[in-house]
Amino acid sequence: MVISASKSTMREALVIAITRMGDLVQTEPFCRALKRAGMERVTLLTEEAFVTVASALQGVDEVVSLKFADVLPHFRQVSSYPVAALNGAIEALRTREFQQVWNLTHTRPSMMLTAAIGGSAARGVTIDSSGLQIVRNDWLRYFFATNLARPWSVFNLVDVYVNAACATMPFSERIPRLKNVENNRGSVRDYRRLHVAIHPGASQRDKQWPLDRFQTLATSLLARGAEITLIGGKGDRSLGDAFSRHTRLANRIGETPIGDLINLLADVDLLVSADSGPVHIAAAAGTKVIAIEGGSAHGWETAPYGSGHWILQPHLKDLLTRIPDKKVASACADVVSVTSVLSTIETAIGERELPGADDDVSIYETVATAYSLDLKTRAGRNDRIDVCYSALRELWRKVLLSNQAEARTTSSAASQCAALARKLATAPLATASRIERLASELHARQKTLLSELLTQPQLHALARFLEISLASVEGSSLGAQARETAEVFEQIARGLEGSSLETHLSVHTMKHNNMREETCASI
Amino acid sequence: MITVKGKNSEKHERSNDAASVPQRALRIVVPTPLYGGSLPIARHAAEAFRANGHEVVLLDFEEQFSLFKRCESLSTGPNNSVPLQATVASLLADITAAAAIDARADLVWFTAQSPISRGALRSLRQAGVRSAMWFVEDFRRYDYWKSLVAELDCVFTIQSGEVEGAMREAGARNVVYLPAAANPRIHNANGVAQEQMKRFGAEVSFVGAGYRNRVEFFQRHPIEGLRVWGNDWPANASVHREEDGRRLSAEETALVYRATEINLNLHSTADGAPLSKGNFVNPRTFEIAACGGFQICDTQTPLADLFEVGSEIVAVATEQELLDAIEYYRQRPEQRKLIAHKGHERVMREHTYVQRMKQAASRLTALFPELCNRCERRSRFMDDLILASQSNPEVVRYLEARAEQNCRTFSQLIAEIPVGSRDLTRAEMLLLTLHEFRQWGIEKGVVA
Repeated sequence: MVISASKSTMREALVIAITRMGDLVQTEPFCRALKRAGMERVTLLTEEAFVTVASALQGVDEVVSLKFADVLPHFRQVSSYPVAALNGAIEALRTREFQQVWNLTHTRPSMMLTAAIGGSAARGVTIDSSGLQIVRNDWLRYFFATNLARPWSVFNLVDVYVNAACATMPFSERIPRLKNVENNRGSVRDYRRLHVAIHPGASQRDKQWPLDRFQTLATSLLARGAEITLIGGKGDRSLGDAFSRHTRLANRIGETPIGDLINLLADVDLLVSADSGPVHIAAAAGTKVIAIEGGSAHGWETAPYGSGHWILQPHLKDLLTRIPDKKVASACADVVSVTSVLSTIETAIGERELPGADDDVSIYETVATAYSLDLKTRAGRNDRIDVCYSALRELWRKVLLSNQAEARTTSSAASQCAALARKLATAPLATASRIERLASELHARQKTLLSELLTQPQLHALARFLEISLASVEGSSLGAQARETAEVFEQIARGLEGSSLETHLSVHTMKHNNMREETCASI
Repeated sequence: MITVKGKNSEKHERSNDAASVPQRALRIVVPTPLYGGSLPIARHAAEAFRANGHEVVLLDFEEQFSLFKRCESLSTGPNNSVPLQATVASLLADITAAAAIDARADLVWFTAQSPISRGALRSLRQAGVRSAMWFVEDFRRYDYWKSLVAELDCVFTIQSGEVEGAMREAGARNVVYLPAAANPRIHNANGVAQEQMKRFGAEVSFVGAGYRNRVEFFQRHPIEGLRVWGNDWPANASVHREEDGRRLSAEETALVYRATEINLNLHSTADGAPLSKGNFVNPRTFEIAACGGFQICDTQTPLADLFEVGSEIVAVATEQELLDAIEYYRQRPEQRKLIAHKGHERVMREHTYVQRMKQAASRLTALFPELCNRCERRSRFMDDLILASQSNPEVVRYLEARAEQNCRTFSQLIAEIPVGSRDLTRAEMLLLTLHEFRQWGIEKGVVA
């Protein structure tokens, strides 16, 4: 890694994003949001394999990279631990004294890098000066909390990132932008002029739509007169062999370096793919996308950003009752039929309205709102799920965006916790025994609140958010800590106040096992 | 290029006595001489330390001999070549000290003729690295040791008797008698192939350098069937030197010993006397016996302590006795075979380098208890991590301060960091970062 070690006089931010290609593209609007919020220059730290993509992101002024493949083998022998290499990389960045160091990656190595480089300037998942894990910034707490409680993530990743830096950035500014890429092709309304890119691979097996369906889809599109280009990485080459040869089918799998892939995706009319890096590149290049979600991917979180894209979202059958975890966000993609995908393509090019969707599958179209991307149901009757998402989005907006100092009601457990924490904030003047009593009472109420939240799968992420926020309180005195604690509970109370989800909570205190249809009916 | 051979870089004999292998090893740097008879001895010692479970860094300087020799051709005479060669030797001594300090060695084991200087020895002492030299030469023949022994922590000698007083007078604090030995990996009775027998075999052989006493002895007493191997014989010497008087390798020397009916073992003498009753037993004595070779040796004071004279080895006190013994045993192959066999068994039992180095390490840890304590308290893991952290003094200081916490794994070390109780230091932050990357490597299957 070659890094300029000189300290800049500009207001500079460092963004650490060392995961996947798609996430990296979704980071681009965040970099511009940082500038909107006052940063003058943004440097991106990424894995060396992604340097080409990172360099194409419009909001990024400088890319620095680490080649982890070279670092990790050094841990095979203690005497060759890469102390010098890692310390050198950290120090080269630390001496630049970035005003803000943002961690947009969930991994613990990135957490430590962020802390070691940024110290008190670190944002996102990091550690405090004593080494305890904390998350700075409400939206990144949400990001972290929902990652632990999928599939109840209700905001697009772009919105989460952008809101973390500048929540007032309008929708049109939020669409990822690539340098030197323009899509000048108009809407195609005729199959015979339609050029479709098909990406049959996926970074994770659980996200993949079955290969035979991609084959059938390709055959159908060719029969209708469309032109097809297959794309994918070198590791996907065998997938291309499964497709029948045709004069209008070009197999470019394994032949498109990132730069070429960006140009190719900018030139086609449509991309059909599972959740993957090309989905986000295509969207950034202005190409419409039909994304088939599945496994760990979830449309509300990972949809291509921009209006007019299409999401086929297979819902988990027990979505409303299962305990959410970090691995499964959607049902397996194989519940999505070729017919549904073909119908969606026809709707996308304006040939006809969607006739319907497969069971437990919603077909969404991405639509713009003032400050976020929304998913509009175009087919699939999954009203209870859609109502849940709608209520949750409202709840989270109140938690994360409201400026109210305090919740109005005092009836909920969250409000009671907030009130107790406020009392604690003034307690330094009180006796030790009173402080102890207040703290004990607060602890008991907090447990009650957490157990209430955990009775509903949809609110697991809120429970995680509460825990993370409390663990991230950093005040230097008891009073300051108590004030921060009160603010956390007030956030939760604001979110729950008036929420149909809270209404449900107030009348039901049932065990999770018993929660079935009546829970859904009451929302 | 200096050859540094670390652990596991070569096969080596394991000590047969598993119970005697130290549970925690010393880290020993062994610099070799550039050339000469001491060079293989240094290598044997390194191999034996390793066999005894110690961690050895062998600095093999043989390749630097060409540079050393080149000094002679670059200068117009000995007055110029000597200072140049001294500079090379001094540089190699400094390299030895630097390598030992870098490797955080416990001990540097010098052998006679290894590059060594007072400055290097002082650097080692300042860094807390112990130094010892095995003086495998006749102390009366050379005197360079006089300027060095005061700076060494311990001198091991193959001589007994007056050497101790002489060295102590020169400032040595510890003088320990440690006889030479054999290396069974090379010196063994494995037999000789027919082709090798043809090349190296003889009725009577001598292998060694052309010291004055030997030159004169063979000049006075032509011996029937004698073959002489070795270097540094004067051009006008009367004897024929096999293969142009080149220096034989240790392996080739062993072949000569095995392929010869009667091996002559004439110690060098300081005063030129053909056979003197010296006070040390040379390595050749042990090597011939280990090879199962029959030998006639000039009598040395300690010989009777090391062998049963008469049944395990034949010793002679005068030139005439030597000549008589040659003729006597020339006619008695069965006796030769029996004596050689017993001598071989004695060496294998008591006189191998593995046993010698075990004795040396034991003596050193008795003399310097901190070596033993360091061995017991400090784990190899910590040493290795300190080695990996040399570029970061803060981390090295941090690890040094915890070197005796008995951490055996990186995870144990990380668990000792008091997360949540106080502000972390930069060193702790870096170690925690390394820990997370290491864990990542484990998850990805890159690290076992």
